[in-house]
Amino acid sequence: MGPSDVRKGLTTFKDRGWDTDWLSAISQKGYTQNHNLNIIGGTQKTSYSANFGYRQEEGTIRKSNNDELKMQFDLSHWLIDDKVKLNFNLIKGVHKNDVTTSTSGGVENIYRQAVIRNPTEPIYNVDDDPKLRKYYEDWSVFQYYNPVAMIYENIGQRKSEWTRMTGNITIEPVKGWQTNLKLSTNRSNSNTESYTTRNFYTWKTSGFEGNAYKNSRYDETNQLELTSRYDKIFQANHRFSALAGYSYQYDMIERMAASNYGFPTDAYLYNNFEMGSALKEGKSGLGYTNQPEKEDSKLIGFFGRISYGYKNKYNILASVRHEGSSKFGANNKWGTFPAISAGWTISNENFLANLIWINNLKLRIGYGITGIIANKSYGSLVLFDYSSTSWGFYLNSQGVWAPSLVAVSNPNPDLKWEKSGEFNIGIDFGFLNDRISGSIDFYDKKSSDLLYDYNVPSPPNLYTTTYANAGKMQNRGIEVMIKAIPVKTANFQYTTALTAYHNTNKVLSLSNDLYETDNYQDNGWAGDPVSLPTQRLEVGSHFGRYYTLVTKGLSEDGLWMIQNPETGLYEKFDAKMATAETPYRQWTGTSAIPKLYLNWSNSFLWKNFDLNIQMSSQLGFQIVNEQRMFYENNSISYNRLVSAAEPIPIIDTNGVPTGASRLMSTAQSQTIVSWYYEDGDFLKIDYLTIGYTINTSAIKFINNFRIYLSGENLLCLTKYKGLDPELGNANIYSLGVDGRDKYPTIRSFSIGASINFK
Amino acid sequence: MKLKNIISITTVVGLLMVSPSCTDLDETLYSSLSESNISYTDEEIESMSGPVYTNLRYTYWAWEGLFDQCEESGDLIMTPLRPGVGWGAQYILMHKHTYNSSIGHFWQTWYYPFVGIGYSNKLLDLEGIKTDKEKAAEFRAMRALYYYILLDIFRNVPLITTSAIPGGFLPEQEDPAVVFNFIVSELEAAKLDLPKTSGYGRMNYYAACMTLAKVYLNHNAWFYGNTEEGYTSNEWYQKALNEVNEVLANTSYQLAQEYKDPFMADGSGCKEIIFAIPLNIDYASANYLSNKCLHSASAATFLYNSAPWDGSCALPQFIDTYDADDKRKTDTWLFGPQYSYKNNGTDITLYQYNDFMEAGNTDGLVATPISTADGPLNYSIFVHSIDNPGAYKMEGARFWKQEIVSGRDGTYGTDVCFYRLSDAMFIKAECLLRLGTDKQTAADLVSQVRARSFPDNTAKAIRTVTDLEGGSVYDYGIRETQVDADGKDVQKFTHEGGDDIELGGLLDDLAWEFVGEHHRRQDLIRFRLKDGSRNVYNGKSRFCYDASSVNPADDVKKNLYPIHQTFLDANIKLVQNPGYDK
Repeated sequence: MGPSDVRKGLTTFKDRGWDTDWLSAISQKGYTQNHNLNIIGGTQKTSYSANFGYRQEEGTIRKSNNDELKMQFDLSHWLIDDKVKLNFNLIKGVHKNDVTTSTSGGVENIYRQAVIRNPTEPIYNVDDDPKLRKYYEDWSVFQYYNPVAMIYENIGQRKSEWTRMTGNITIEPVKGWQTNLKLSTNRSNSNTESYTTRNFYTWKTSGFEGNAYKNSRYDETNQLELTSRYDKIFQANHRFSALAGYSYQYDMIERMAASNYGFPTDAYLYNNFEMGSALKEGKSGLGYTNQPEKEDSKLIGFFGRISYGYKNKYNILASVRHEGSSKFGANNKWGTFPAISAGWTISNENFLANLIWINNLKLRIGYGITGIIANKSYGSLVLFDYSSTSWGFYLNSQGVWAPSLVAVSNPNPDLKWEKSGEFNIGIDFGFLNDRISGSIDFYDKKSSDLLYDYNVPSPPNLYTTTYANAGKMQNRGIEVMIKAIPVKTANFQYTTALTAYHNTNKVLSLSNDLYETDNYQDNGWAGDPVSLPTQRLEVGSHFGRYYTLVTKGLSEDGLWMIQNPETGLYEKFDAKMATAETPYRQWTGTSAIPKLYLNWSNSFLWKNFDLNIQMSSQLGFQIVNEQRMFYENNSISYNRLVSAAEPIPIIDTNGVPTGASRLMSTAQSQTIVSWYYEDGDFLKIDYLTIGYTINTSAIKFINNFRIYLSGENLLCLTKYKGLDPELGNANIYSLGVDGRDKYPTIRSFSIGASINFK
Repeated sequence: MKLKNIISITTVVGLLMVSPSCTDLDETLYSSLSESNISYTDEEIESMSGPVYTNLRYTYWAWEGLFDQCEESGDLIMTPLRPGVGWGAQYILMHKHTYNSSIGHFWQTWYYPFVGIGYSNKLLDLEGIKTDKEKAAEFRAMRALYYYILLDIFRNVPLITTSAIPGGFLPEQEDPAVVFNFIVSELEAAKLDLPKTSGYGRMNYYAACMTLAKVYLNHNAWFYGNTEEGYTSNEWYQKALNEVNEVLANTSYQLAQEYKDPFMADGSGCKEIIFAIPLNIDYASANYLSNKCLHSASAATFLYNSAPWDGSCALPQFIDTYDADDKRKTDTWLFGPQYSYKNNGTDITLYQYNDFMEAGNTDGLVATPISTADGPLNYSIFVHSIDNPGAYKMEGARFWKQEIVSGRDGTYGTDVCFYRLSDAMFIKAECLLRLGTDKQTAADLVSQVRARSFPDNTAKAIRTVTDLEGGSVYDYGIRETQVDADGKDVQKFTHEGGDDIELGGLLDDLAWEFVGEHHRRQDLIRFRLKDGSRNVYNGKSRFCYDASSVNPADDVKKNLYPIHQTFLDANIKLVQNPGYDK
């Protein structure tokens, strides 16, 4: 709501007399520049390439900038009659970005604070001398901080650089038999330094008079891969290939952090670390308490592959990987993952030779098992640690505060590979000289022993979750891709491609190797302070199925009328309904998973002009709009959405509208009800580029010169009321929940030029 | 050609490095310990006794801990919905006795005691401990203390006494009588070997006596209606009496001069304290009462450098029960206009201001009313309602019995006085009254404790047997004030009074003395109406709790809290307490 709404009394805010647009106070038009230089060249014996790139990016939230410089160098050389090939590759990158809480979740999210802030409050206290200008803060509102101060009083950056070095030697003593040894290493260093001044909100909430923080992290990955392959064609029609190999990978992380506060001046920032008073008081921070300061892991594999093809019509390929990871339990470190596939290129058969409009038709079928590795080291071991945080200290028998010795996690000596077996069958086609081409794929994937932090009984476990293998899940789907060139003339070409994708998901079991469990779990928890699940997962059904309180309107006194699933009648909202286990929750019949995903690209070439349009769509799903759940509510002390002042129909106990409507009562606390579940269907123009290639035939040194104009995220057609209906959905346990804390989706335009020199 | 030579050397070195470890997948630990490098030396055992104690701290002061569970469902303290601030939610359910298995509080008080028990079991299974009688007694007594908390809150709990547990083991709940007997026999056995004195915050002989006394005192309430357990028998009060008599015989425990003394940030020097959970702002910062209770502007009174969250306050009816001369009223509660203080221009806290006032050095003392965006900070005793419309920002008296330290500390480092001498005296008084053996001694004990709180009117400190056995002065009944569409107050009041409560006078004294000391829920369940029909916990309305909303037949169910859903989900053998949805 804006200042005039506050003045009308539509919020609990007092009119502080100012007009502040908080969103524009925290945001900016961000400019990005991106430059690349390439050279490629060589002789018969030697080839080289090099690339130099620089990208500078200003964020749409102020002070959330990125800066990256990258250089790559590649050199290959053949010797001894081309029997030996040497290759060296070096990539080096340096990166710098601002320290910002704009991408954090929680109360420190800058966008959240801008949304909930009183628009009649000023940014600064104007009474003060401009030199001592202070940010305007109102501490009487819970978790309510000036977002402009959050931007400018948090100073610092993260700097990183990484190097990847690869050396490769290939020996081919006999034609067809190649042995390759690759050694590579990947090193990266990153350092963060930040300082929150005495105007940053934590001086009030945590009592820090200026807080400096530094951390450093070093990552190292070393790899060795030795492979030997043999390719041979017998009697013209039999193509045979075999490969055997060994791979070794070592990963290591070292990290360190330090913090100090109580600096005599803000001017030092993080550059005079020893000056903070907390160090002398023994209150400064050092090291990490919730993760190891050094950890490593190893991954070792033996693998082999055989393929056979006959007359370019029939192909068969079989492979196996025997892979071991140090992250698993002593007896479960190794897993074996076979795969087999076959292909039939029907278009090469004689009986189709007459059908010249078919230029490609191929049937593919395959089955393979893959393994998924644990996401952390030491998960199988019985681990102990001295716990020296304010959580772990205890007063010992000598009356001294000392760190206690505690178990760090529940051990799981049976920890093993997560496996998934996928069957797929597909067809590739190309007709009329590939004017129409595409593919159709069906797959059926069964995953088992899913790795996750599962709830385990307490007692007897010391922790309520154990990292373990559990459950079985099935994913089945179809993916269709069609590409066509409807028009093709000398001056004009139109190419279009459509991809459609549909997936069904089914959970077959939730029990784990350790413990038998119930057949459901509540997922997709709405944020604090609502803290209730939006969906429920049941064995035999799929992820993302919504399960919540169902409502169609308000009671006479402005509380939600919630349907009792047993009677079908609507009852006035009561705090007892605001629990995960309430019998008032029910299936909504809707889901977070789109029934259909579509991608449609179109490209046009006309003389020297080119135009590309990329569109996408997701259909048949719903989104939980957390912004509305939190801010379309009249009990809160924060700013609200304008829609909070819109009347809602009053319904009777049968759910029938009485014809009257009213505002939601101030006694209706924030909670999750079906009112905030919205259809998410959308159609987007993700990307559009117009380019023009300048005729440079007259210029001696230039091969190609193209200029272009492009836009990203240009249009979104949807009824969804939130910011962006395209959700990341990275976490399968919280599908469809559009959180309140975000970094706004960006619409961007760019102008570019690319020149190729002869 | 030179290039080629260099390459061949590199290759050979590379292979040599890799080959010995080409299938070795053992893990290397750098910043953790594993069972293989712990040998359970004395030092390691001492360090592992840490979690045996820290888990008691978490039980009490982890977010949503034991403090709330003993108060929020009672008749003294509540945390109403505050429009424009928050709160309410589960605290409403606790106030109205409609709690359910999703409330986070029931996670804390189940989980942390069981972790404390788990570490105790681990230590007790060690050979080195089995032969060290004193240490074994210490850990057995701590384990029994955790089971006492579990039995009190949940009653139906698994009894696990060893760390040697087969994989996949799903514990089942034990008969509460068996758990009760286990606590008693463990504490009796431990008492034989426990030291009479110990470091501050460590289990000793007298802390074991107090736990036993608590267990005995509450036996009849816990097993109410269970004739097999002899719930009407007086033997348990006699046993409780025997335990506290041992405590009272130890003259090193003495009543503190001032009521507030046992609640100072560091209680280690207080002779009234028998057992404490030590906290420390740097090493064990946890007690968030100062933030939970105070209005944000109220921090200025204490030079507390924070923005408190304006949550809990007193039920107005309770504040009305205090005698005007009872110093505990102002020692426990902040109400009326609030001030920040200066002495000759220097900022000082309310504590310092009071000290100066007492010393008579009032020159240069200035009290300035605290202003807020909503006007001067002024806590009313009156509160509208628990949830409809809730309590406005300045409504309700605020709890400040525990020391609020200036700077960034607040109450975060303020110790929990778990057992104190007055508690032993009150247990003795209650047992004597219930046994009917020496009622005058009971009245004397209560008067003795009260004496320090009536410095200006010592006669009022005296309580007679008639006072204690008479009714309660608490004016029970509903006191909800709603707001109609025109913004006018609508009172929904009923009047039940407190005359019908057995030992009502003693129940009042328990409230004045022990408010906010993990007492009230237990006391209200133990004290019944004179006709025996219901306990005070469920049977007396207050503020927005309507006693008629709970069927008297369900009182025994409401006496227990439900087991949190997380634990039921993870263990299909656990059965939810009766009367609660799974």
